[in-house]
Amino acid sequence: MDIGTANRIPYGVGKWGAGWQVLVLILLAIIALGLYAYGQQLEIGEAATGMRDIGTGGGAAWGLYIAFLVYFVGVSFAGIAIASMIRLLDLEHLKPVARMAEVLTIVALILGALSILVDVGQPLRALLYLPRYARPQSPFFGTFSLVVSGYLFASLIYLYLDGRKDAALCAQVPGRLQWFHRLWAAGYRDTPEEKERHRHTSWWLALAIMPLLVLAHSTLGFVFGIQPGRPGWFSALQAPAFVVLAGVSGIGLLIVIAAALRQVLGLKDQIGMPVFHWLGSLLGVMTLIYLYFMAVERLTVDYSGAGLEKSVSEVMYTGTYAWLFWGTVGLFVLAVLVLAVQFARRRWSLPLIVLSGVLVNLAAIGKRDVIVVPSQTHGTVLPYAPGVYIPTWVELAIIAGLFALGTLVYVRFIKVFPIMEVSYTTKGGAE
Amino acid sequence: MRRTVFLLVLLGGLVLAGAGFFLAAPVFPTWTEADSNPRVPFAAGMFALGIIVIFLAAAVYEVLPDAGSEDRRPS
Repeated sequence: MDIGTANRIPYGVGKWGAGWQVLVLILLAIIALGLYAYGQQLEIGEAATGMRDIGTGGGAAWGLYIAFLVYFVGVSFAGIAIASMIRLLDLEHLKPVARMAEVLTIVALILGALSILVDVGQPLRALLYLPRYARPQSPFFGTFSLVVSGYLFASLIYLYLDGRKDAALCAQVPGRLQWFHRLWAAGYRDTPEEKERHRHTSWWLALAIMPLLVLAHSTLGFVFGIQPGRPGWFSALQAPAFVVLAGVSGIGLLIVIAAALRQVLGLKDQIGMPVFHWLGSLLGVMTLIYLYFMAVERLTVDYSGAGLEKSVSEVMYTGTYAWLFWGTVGLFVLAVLVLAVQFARRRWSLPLIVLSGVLVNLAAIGKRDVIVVPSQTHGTVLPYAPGVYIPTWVELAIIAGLFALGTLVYVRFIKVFPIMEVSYTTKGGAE
Repeated sequence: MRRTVFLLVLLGGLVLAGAGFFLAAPVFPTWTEADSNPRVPFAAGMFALGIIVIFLAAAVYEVLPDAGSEDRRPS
């Protein structure tokens, strides 16, 4: 086992150029703004946000934070799903993006957990009371336990075990990070026994993670789908639709990240176009399935929904939220068209695939807002006037801070550990 | 030795998660106020911890060397 003749860690690990330093400074500035905004929220209370009680307060009790919680948890889908699929279905050609995807999952889940904490007025009390009093059969606790403890921990274990070989290779290179790589490698020496054991463990881990993945995203859907008193949310389609939308946003963001790293780190030989063809095709199919779900849900409600269900629909079609609803649908359709044209012509363009990834992510954020907000402001069963929800600068700054934090963690990881298997540096493909 | 430790950790996780689930508020019936409280405080935390320990077993299985195996010999 040898890292190569150059005896240095590939993919820019440990090297902080001027561009990276500027990026980190910008990210730190945004995080500082987010922390300041969160300080304001802690001091003033949630009155600093645009959230108000449903009905009596004339607003929405869940707003941007919950919409982004669903978005972040959705994004996490791609990483571990792709890593598991590579292992279970032998999709070797996707291996170059496996670690990128695994790190994306972990970062997104951390951001999801933080989104819950910024949403609750008393985060420390929530951290104490949730494990103390929660009911494991509740979708809220299911989301927290399955997603945060199970899903996040399983992903961390998967990343850790999958990275041991590379850690052992990197530990051969003297430098400031050597201790870290040694610690990660934990004595790994790439013996036939260790290889076999890793193959065995990762196969079982991948198998265990797949149902957990579906369960976790379904549970998040159930938080909304099993509330019969909230028109617009109560639907059997919520759980499967959450799973599919998670796949759409996760794969879309993975495409964007893989393309960006391919460009920045000069990985054009290692991450070939077939990887993007495959991800683009999968993204197109999943977006189409999601559009089908949306159409079925809308048709069911509009054909035979109760009065309040229809009034929520009207607000989305022609009322306050029409711009958001139709904007979301438009972005999804545009993304599918961009991918479909390439698929039909058998000619793929990386910028267009990346554009589709960006479009579906914007649409996914919009769709999460459409799911969370209108049912609260216009779906009250009691006779209250329609409410309003407009996020304040505090919420926007905190969300921006979370995005910056996630990007910083991702960038930091890239600089301490190879973001792709080291074996791809010299052989340009699978070893 | 490695397999024994792995099985113990896995079993520990399963027991913890199972105990956490059954010592939490009952799934059924849920009509009275007492039914909405956990039978033992922090049972839900126990359930979450159990899930974490179950996945930790994978790391134990892979990282711990076999007694007398090639992994232990110096390179």
